[in-house]
Amino acid sequence: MFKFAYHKPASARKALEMLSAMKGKAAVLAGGTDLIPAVRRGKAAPEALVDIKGIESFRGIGISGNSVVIGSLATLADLVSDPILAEKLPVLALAAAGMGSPQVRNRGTAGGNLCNAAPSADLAPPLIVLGAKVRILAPKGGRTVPVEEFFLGPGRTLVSGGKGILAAIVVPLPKKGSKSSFHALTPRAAMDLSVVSVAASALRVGGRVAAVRIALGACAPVPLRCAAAEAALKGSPGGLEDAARAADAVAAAACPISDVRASEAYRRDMARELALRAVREVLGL
Amino acid sequence: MIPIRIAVNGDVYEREVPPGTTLLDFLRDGLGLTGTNAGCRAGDCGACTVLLDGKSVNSCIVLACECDGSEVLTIEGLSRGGALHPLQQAFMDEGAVQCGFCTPGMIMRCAEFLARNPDPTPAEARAAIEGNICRCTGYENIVRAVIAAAGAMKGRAKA
Repeated sequence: MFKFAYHKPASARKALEMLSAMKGKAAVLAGGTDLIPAVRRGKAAPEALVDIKGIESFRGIGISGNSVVIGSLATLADLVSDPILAEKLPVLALAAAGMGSPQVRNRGTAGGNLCNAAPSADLAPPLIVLGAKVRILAPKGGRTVPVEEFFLGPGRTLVSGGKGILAAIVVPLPKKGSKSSFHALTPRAAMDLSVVSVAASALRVGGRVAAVRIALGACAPVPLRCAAAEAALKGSPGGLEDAARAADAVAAAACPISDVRASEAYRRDMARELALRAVREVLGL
Repeated sequence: MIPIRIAVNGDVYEREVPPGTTLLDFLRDGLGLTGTNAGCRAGDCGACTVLLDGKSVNSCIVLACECDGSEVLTIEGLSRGGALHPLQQAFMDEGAVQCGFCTPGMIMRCAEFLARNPDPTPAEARAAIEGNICRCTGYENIVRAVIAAAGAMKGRAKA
């Protein structure tokens, strides 16, 4: 049994009031698949949990204007099975399908994966290359920021410490003809964290790479958007040599740690390899 | 204490629970339903899997207070009127049980899986139990049992 109080507000406004009143000593509870084990292991010791599952506006996946809006409470299983994502953003379904186990995916949420802010968070690289933004609610109003600006460090985001709540993820509908890919390396086939992950998106127009985004996971304190790798490809013919230069730039951007899962050198090598695969896939090479 | 109203295996309970009590501990210690096993207590092994509103979850990382208004199905509630569920029968027939510790969780996970995918391939059955660890069987007999149960359930549906 754990020692914390439990609150389940029915509105975002009430939830924000509670978080403010607790001055950083309360944690937001969504699916709990990261938070409850963290409390169990003594890595988190919140005095109170604010369960946001009663806030209906945080639910659902739908199209609004030119964007797909994913409620922060959408589960990973929702991402895997949602027909809108399957048609418009299959790379997100692919990334979600590789996370945790069916039981974890039934419970864990899209918002939780971002707010837990593991450097290996598998939704982050695909969301970054899709140009997604997070809609944040805070006591002094809300704002919408690109996913790559949401992370501050391992376990730390713009909403950490009760500063706000992630309400939704807003993903612009991809331009016609653009492609996205996600490649993750896990030593085990299931129930494992990514040692390295790379996502890419690209649009070819008239024999040139007109738009490209590349993001790297588990190789830095936060998921990284790789501007140098993108610059290596943008405007190029998008051939194999261009892809290789982009992959080298991804490896150069990586600043991984050595830990129980992999060494720094291995991660850097695999960042290059996965980047090459991800870029070749979106360029049709 | 948090008041909750929860249906477990069709029976409705109105109880007060401490906020830190997991669904697993509520089932085992609060209701005496010890068929659900406590393994890793960290959401890694699947031994404590139950159905929460029809979805398989690790009950060790769900709080009882989160389940207010929900329906829970445990291994004790799977058989109907004394007849074993086809999954239970198939696990016995195929030798899918050795020490038995993972079995309730394995069967509850597969109960949701077969409800969504009544005609799975062995590869799909294997993927379905990726979050359920078994240290005895090597999984082969479990996968066979899931396929056999799917067949038995289809036969029953036609009858």
